[in-house]
Amino acid sequence: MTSLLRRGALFLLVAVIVVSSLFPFFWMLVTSFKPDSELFTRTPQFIVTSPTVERYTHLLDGNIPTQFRNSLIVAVATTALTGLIALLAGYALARYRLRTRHILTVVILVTQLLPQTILVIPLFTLFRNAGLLNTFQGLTLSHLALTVGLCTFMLRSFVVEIPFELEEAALVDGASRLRAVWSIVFPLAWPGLAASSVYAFITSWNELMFSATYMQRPEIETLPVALQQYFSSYYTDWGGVMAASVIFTIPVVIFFLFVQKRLMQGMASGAMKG
Amino acid sequence: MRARNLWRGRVAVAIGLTGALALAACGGASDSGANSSGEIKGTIDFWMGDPIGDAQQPIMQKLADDYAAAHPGTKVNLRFLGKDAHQTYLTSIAGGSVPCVALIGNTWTPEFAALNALDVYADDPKTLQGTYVPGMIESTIFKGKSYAVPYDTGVRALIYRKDMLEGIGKTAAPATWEELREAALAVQAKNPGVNGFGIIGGAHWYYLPLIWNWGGEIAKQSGDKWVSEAGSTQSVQAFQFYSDLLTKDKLSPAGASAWTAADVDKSMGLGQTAMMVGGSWDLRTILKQNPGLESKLATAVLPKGPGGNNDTFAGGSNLAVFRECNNKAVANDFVKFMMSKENLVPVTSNLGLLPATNDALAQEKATGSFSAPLFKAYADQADHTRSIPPVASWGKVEGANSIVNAMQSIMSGKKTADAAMKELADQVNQAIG
Amino acid sequence: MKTTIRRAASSVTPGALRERRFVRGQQGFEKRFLPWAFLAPLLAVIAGVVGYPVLRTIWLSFHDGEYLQSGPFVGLKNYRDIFADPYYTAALLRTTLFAAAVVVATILLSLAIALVLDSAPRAAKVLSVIVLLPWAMPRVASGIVWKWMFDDQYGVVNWLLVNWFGLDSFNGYSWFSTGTPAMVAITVAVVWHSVPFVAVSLFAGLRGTHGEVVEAARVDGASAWQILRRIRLPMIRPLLVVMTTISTIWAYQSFDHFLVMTTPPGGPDHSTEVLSLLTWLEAFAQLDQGSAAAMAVVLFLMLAAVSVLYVRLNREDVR
Repeated sequence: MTSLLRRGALFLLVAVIVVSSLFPFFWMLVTSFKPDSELFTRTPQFIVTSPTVERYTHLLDGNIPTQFRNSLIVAVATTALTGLIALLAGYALARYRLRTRHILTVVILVTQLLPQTILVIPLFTLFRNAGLLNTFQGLTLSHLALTVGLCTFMLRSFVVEIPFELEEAALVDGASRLRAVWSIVFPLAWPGLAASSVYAFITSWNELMFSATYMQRPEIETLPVALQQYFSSYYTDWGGVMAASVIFTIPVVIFFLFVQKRLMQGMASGAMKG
Repeated sequence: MRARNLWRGRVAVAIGLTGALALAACGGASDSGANSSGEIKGTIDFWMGDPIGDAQQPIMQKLADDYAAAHPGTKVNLRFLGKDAHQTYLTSIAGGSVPCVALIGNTWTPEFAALNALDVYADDPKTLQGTYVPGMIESTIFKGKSYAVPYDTGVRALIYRKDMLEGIGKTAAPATWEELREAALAVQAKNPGVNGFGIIGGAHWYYLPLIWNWGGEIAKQSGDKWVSEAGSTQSVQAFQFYSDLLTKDKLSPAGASAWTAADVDKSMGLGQTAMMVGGSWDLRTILKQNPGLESKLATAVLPKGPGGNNDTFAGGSNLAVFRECNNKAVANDFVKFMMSKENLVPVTSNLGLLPATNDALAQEKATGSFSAPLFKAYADQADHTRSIPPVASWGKVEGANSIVNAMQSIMSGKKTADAAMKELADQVNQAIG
Repeated sequence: MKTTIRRAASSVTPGALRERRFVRGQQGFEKRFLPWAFLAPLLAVIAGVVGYPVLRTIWLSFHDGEYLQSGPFVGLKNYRDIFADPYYTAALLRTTLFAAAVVVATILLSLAIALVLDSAPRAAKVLSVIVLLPWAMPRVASGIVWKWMFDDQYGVVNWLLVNWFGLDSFNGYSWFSTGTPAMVAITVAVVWHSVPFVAVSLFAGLRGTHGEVVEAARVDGASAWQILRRIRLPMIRPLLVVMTTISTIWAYQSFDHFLVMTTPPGGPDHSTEVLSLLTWLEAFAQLDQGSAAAMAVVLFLMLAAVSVLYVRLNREDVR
């Protein structure tokens, strides 16, 4: 009996967790398909009776595809560069006993707790003088500041886990160190690289403060900035901004669902070793 | 060992997502076509802020496309800014990444000119007289020169539900603010769930003019300096009156202290508000949302205050060419294109604004969209307008939201009207002094 | 975080011993040059887009900076100015209260969710995907959807409070017209966004605590609650400290939700101004980079202090 009660309570808790996690997604989606007449109702309409895709077709005719592309360019470039930089640095920190390692660790850690506001002003003037305002290069550089620190640590801990014997064997066979890194470490560090890539991608894709400050031309505007500008003080097109938010959210969620299996594997292995 | 595995597990869990690491080169932004030869060729950026209705984007896009079609080799990139448009302009001016042409609020024009951001449009503003609406020419002037072309202008008037006022035995619109208050209370008593008057705490255009109506001034000139009059008795009483409409009379929900016109438009469209101060653009938004209201709505000039006048702001926008634009030939040509009557009127009439050129205005009043009975009040109200103090740093007052903050702190009871207005006066003096 | 890493680095495995011997046997060139070549890109990035800006911000905070142009040296004037500004000191206090609320709510909710997941092992796989999902929603988008859910007239939150919980005073209740309710609404949105990461991490940590010790305790007749309090929670305490540190830093830096959800940004009447937003507006709306830089430096010092505090806490914990 108590067991039944326990199960019931657990079920209820699980239900609450699931609903509160998913409801905003659901609500965003539903709102984006509602015609205005169903949108502004005192009692929320949880089901759309006459869905409209007009908002989406309207958005796709406008600037959204360009903004989407811009966000993608910056996020992919940030991800790629972060992966490269962090893998090399993580390898160096894992495999060499540098005397300065201690200082390096502290420096890298500090980059992770810096408020963005301490970077945003000087980078603005720096980019202005270097002609990097309103360029993908500039924004990507600024995003690197947010990603490389943590990613280096992540990759470092992954490289530490790779048995050194494998590399050693390759080196004994006459391969150069670089070659050994390329053929042995890189493939084995892949899960770590994947994890850091996700972090870098999501960080860059979502970032608002730098983007809103450095990207001031319509053809290179990124999605978060464009979305923020949906709010006029004269009127807000709630349906439109929801549709745009859906478009903004979809890539990350798909990305996330696509890789959740690996996530579960990571959890399982973590638990087994614990 | 455990700690280490925990760390690893954490990393794997936290960020344990994977994905194809597509390598893509950093693409550079396509450079806006530099052009110094004076040839009509290349690309320009055209920005506009704070759209006043959902009709704005498509119609501007069409004009931009029309222009490009008529001038092969040119392209106009549009950017629509949101509620923080003013800040975006300042950031881009500071960063030297300005658009070529922008449709900017008339109160911002002297400010941007003072930042040396705009091209001079006319060395002698007198040459503009006759072509443009006088009040709007004034808004383009900084230190004796004109820095922009007046584009559109709009005034606010009273929008009300004829049927609801008739329900309480009123056939005419309230002529004074006190009458309005009484009528709103009566309507509210008779129609439960309806707001007697749509209060707009979040935008100062809706209550700052009350200072004039109460017989006061926003600022006075002394020597070559402007001094804020926000602390005067009239100003305090005017703000107190507007705040009381919300806090004492409860003519709108408590949330109205943060409402913008959009919220009241929406509420009006849903039949939940009986009266509001609104621009002709608001009227269009409401009718678009609920066309069935057309027969029930009426408009009138604004009510008068104890000061005996019903003056309001002449709002509007100017078209400006930025000094650092690298394609002035196209920019100036595009401005000319935008200002022609056949391109201007469709925009303004669609948005519910008055064009700022005299010939287009005359046409709109006589036979155009403002000849309709619902819009006649706006044409009448246009004769009762004043300008804000013509100081370059007025934009700072708006940018800091000082006026809105003052009203909201009175409404929330955080400060007395006296204290809030004294503080506002200090802030305004600091900004414009 | 720091100590965790240090511990990992100093744990000597047989492989590491061999490695050291091996590296010693390498040519001096490779040993000296290669690691630095590997580190070079990272160091370049850190120097260029982190180190320089930080030093520059500190420098700017001692200089006049109207219209984003650096002016003459003014000593501590910018610092005096900001601390004399009641809006700044209010924002400082507000941000601290907000961060405290967010961190407490995040940790408690996350722990609760982690325990629920832990008690439902068969559903845990699917559930943790669902729990983590909000983390994937971009902050700007989540700010927008929560703003809509908290809408006074048509929001689903008010409807829920009125119709499900019978709280009639929430009929048409306006969340964004005064400071406190607006902060509550934003806190809910921010917590919704920060719980997933922490919850799933804690869940992974808790899973790692099912071991011999717990089994032994269970055989000895300890209740689930005792096991949790006496054994399992202490085991994940380092993790809890790390998560608290991370959430604190996140909360102090909150920006996106505030920019999206409030009108005007930080309003009404400055009542939702938090440090990040205020600093950004000071720089890019007021164009006063001197004061903005001073604000940024103060925030940085505060975050550094918080981190050091937590690291200390963790270290003592290890002993």
